[in-house]
Amino acid sequence: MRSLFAITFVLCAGCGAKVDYRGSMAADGRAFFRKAKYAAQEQGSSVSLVAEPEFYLQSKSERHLLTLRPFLRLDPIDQQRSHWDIRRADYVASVGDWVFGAGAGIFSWRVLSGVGVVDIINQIDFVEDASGNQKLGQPYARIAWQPGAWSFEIMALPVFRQPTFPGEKGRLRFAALVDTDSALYETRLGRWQPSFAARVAVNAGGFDIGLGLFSGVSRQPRLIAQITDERVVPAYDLTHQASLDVSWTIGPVVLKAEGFGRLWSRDLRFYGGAGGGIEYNFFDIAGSGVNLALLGEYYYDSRPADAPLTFFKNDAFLGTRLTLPDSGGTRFIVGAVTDVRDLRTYIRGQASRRFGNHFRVIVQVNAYVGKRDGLEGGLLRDDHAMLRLAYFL
Amino acid sequence: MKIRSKLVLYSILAATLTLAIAAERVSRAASPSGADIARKAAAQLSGYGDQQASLKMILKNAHGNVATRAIRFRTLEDKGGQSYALIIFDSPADVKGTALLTHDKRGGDDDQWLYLPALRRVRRISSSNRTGRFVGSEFSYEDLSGYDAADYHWKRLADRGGHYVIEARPKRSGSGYSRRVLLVSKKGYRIEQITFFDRKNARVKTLSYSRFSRPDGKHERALRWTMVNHESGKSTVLEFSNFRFNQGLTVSQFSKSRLRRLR
Repeated sequence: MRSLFAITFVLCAGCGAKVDYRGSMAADGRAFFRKAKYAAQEQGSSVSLVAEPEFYLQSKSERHLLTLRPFLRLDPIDQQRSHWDIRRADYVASVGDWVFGAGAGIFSWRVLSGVGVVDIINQIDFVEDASGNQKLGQPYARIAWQPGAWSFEIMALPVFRQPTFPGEKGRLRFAALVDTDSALYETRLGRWQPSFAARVAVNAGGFDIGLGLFSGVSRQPRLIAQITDERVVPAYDLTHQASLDVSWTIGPVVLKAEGFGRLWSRDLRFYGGAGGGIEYNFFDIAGSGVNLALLGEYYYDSRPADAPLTFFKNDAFLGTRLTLPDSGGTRFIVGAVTDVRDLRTYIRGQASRRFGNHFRVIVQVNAYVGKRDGLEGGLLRDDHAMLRLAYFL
Repeated sequence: MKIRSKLVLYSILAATLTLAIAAERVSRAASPSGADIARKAAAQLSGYGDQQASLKMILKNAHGNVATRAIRFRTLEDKGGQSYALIIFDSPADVKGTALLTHDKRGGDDDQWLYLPALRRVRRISSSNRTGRFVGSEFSYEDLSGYDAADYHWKRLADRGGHYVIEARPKRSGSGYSRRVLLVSKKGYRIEQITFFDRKNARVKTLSYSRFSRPDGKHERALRWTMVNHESGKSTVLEFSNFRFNQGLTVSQFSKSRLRRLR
């Protein structure tokens, strides 16, 4: 695929097509505030490298777009954190109001800021980010018809990819090790069981509304404990989901809600999940150009204990975003997710600023407050700070 | 980066529609009123069909430090009088691919969406940040929006050499300015300078248009806009290049779902 891309690149550079790249490479310094909980874990603070460049080729008419976005993390200390992925490698044709696409990519339907409730196309890359916000590229074929404010689309997802989980030596891992090599599938086709999705979306008068359908292999595993050791085996059932996502912008206020109903396993057992939130923006405070946003969100999920895994069964999120009007694009973001039942809280704070035209420095602190037991125990113990020096291509 | 609300983009529009409007017929009276002059000046900037250009934004602070941004813009007028605008950032590198889409609805609130490649999400932009600064520049979103001549009370203040001096006072609240004073050439009705007065009626900023040119031999555009903030000493220069008209852009190229596919 990559050599094909390289050849196409060279051929098309001369034919009026636009060949370009964007994305970043970064060095991450990471320091943990406590000793690792499990004996096998590497203790340490480390410096690792991460790259996510995007190469693309667009025809002069802008009808044809070929994109390749590989991802690579190299961590010399924590070897199991070193991993790579193809986040995107696809061809998209836009013909009038029609769009045809095939390859691998990432698709998101969420409107909430703290936790995405309805997203179901892609798998989570837990090795890259324990918060669940990094996703793996999903092979797909897609047809969309997008007249005016409307969008209708159907997708076929021919193969299932497992989420990644940190290994035995890795920090920010779960209490139990997930044995992905022994994964169980409900159907005989295993990971070759195809999945399908459809979506209708419209925007009108301050509203952005989407209705989604999904049928196929569950993106979240049930974790089955093994008698012989501390490992758990992930099991991926068939799942059918209908979801709705809505955001409504009225002046400085944004109201957001998203939710789904899901039938899972052969018995078609039901559970639902939903989240709602409000974002209030203070624009241009006292004529200074400073913007401040306050966010509050709540998530609820009715799934039983034996259903696939979620960390957000009854949680609240509070966040704030402060942006300065300087040429460095300085911004501060703080968010906290609290489990309403036992008040354990995960806090992430981040500050960043651009230097010159290509560099951005990001400082991030991740802290956990409350009980540090259960499946997330290992995760919740690993308070850490990160300094990232990113070079944007 | 803060590209919020009403933003934007219209950088062009500003350039273009600056005053908005529909090319209404203006009375041929020997001595035109302020509103007549405003409408004629606006008519010079509309009626283009579609247009696109590249622009360099140069930010200078009071110490002379300079930062630059590279931007592309495209606009389209449809037959119903609605206009569409798109701006795409090429630099700084961390915001490359950031795109702002505006559907300018005459007589109503605009719809605006921002696509951030780093988050891979499209966000609707609130229309209540008109007075905020656009990407750290001396232009507010309000300065860059297309404005409708019908939204202002116009007054002809004086004639100065080959120019009319006219004043615009907003009819509606929500503007950061109490009034603007425009210098419009008698020949060709081109806007050459706008002075902005804050709500306390103090002169805060001056925008000068220069390097007038007809890139296609027909439509006249100012290729250089200089905004000086008299209070902070900072300035922002916009330099336009590669203007192209009527390249066959269509409304579907300005749809929200298209934002992710822009390059």
